[in-house]
This record gives sequence, C-alpha cells and structure tokens, in this order.
Amino acid sequence: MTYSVAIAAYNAAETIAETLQSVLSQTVPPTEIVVVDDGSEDATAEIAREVSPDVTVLTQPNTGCGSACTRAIRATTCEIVATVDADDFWLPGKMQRQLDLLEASDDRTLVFAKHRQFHHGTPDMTSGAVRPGLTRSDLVFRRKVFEEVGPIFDPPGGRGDMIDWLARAREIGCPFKIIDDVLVMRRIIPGSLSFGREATKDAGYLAVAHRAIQRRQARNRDRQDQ
Amino acid sequence: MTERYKTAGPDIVHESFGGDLVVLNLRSGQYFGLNASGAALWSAIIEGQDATALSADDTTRQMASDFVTQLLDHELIVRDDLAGEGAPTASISLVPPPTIEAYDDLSDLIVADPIHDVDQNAGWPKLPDAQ
Repeated sequence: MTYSVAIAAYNAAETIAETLQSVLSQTVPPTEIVVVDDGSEDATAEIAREVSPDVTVLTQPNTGCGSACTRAIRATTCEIVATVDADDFWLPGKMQRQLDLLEASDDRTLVFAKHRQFHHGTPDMTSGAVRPGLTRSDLVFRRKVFEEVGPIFDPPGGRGDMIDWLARAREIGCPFKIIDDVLVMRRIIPGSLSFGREATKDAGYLAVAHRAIQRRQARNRDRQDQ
Repeated sequence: MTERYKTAGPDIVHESFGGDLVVLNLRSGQYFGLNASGAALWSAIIEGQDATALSADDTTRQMASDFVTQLLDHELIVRDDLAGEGAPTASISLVPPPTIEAYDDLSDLIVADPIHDVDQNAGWPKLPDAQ
C-alpha cells in the first residue's frame, strides 16, 4: 500500500526536521512527502528541503493552516494520505498499523491513533498524557474522502480548523476509527496554555461551533422540505 | 434581594454571529445557541445586572428566572453578588421567549484539539521565551 504525506508548516524551523525524519523512518515509508510552507519568516522551507530530496516543498504567502494543508493534500497523488503538524512526530510503526486498519475498513473511514504529549525542549517522552488523537497528526484517510468533505476552513484566529473539517466528515457519515495505541508524539510548547484562553484565538472555536449550528439548521430545513 | 452572576470562569467564551449568540465551554467542548432574547439576557446577566430585575412584568420575570436556572444548570454562570453592584439594570423584551439549545457533537473534537500556538509572529509552535 502506498501513501502520501501532507504537511502545512509555518515558522517551524525548530521542529520540522524531526517531524520529517519520523515520516521517513516509518517501517512503511511514504511514496511522497509534500510540505506547504505557509509564508514562514524563518528557514522552514530550506530546512525541509535539506532533510531529504524526497521532500517536495511548495511555498506561498501566509494564508492559514487549513488552506495550506488543503493545498498540501491536493498536491499529493497517492490514494491514501496522512497528515502531520510540523511540530509533532510519528513513532516508526505508525503508518503500518494505520494502513492495515484502513485496508480492512470501509472506504470512507478516517483512521486515527492515540498520541502522547511531550514538552518541547525536554527529553521526557514517556510520562506525558495519552489522548485519543482526533487531530491532524494522527489522521490517515483516502483521498476521495477529502474531496467529499471539501477544503479545510480557516477559522478567524487560526484555531479549530480540524474540528470543523472532522465534524463535517462525521456529519456525512465517515466512520472514525482510533487505534488504541500511542503512535504519535504531540508537542506541547511551554507557555502555550495561556494562549488557549486568548479571546482572539478562541474566536476560531466559536466560529466553528456557529458553523455547526448553521449546518444543523440547514439539514433540518432540508428535512422539512422533503 | 438582588441576584448577580458572572461567567463560570475563563473556559466559558461567547460570541455574537448576526442574531445568534454562541456560548462555548472550552473545557467540556459543549456549546450553546441562544436566540436574540436569550442573547440579550445573557449579556445583561454576565455584566452583573440584577437578574431579578431584568424583565418588565411578572410573566417575563418568570421566563428570565427560568433562563437563569438553565444557565446555572449548564454551568455557564456562577452567583457573584459582590460584583456589578453599580451595573445598570435594563428591562429586556422577551418576545419571542429566550431559548438556549445545548450541543455536544463537537465535544470530543474540541477537547482533542492541540493547544499548539499559531501566533502570527511566533509561528507553530511558539518557542519557549528562554530560547
């Protein structure tokens, strides 16, 4: 089974090499890796190119994580696509496990795994919290599912893009399957917790919730019309 | 006897979208849609206005009181009789009656969403200040 990896990156010079190495070190390596550098002001694009000639780097002016990720996914060619944030990394058997599950599942299934959090700049990779990984870094899917759900929407403030996309996928009946093992390491940046309650960032979550309400109202109207 | 309230901590956030008000509990991932009357009551309540004096007559007073109870049941507000003593009390039209709809279809996704910083200047991730 072949697969592509799509990565959106913005000012990720400190972390993207580790992310890419973890992709290249998979027991089942990818056929292609596409990085979309979303207008970084640092050396993200250069570093990504230096990691391996197998990494394709596309650059663009800053548009937001969702649209950069959409471009990265659409620039890949394999039937199966995996995404990862430019600061997280995969454990070596991650893709093998997920490809096996995807192959045994309905075509529209979104396959996830659990991830363990770790703190940037510390060597501790074992004591962080383990979570069911309903995030971009855990996700593998078939390309046709992506086009059925549509492009990733960028909420104001930049947070919640994947909540919106995954919610839309679930609403049209795409099954979610989460492998019950830690296959991904999710980086936590010291100081970022305080950003979690910053009004301009939280606006994204609120916009995503409002979009969900609007979709529900539209579905109810459709039902009444029938 | 006055009754004053405030939002139940920094996890409770809200925003107006046209006529709709959305309130979100970031910790639980549960979110709420309020109609225009509900939105007007919400704004007055979290400003610390006296919740017993928000409505014009006995019928709407009961409506407002029931709405406050719903907000308390959803753990969106907490009693705060010390705050807002000076806040003006407004009389709010409750036509149509205030409604609040609770949704939890995004809860697992919101709770799982990375805390990664996507600050415009700092990028993803924001590096520790020490570095």
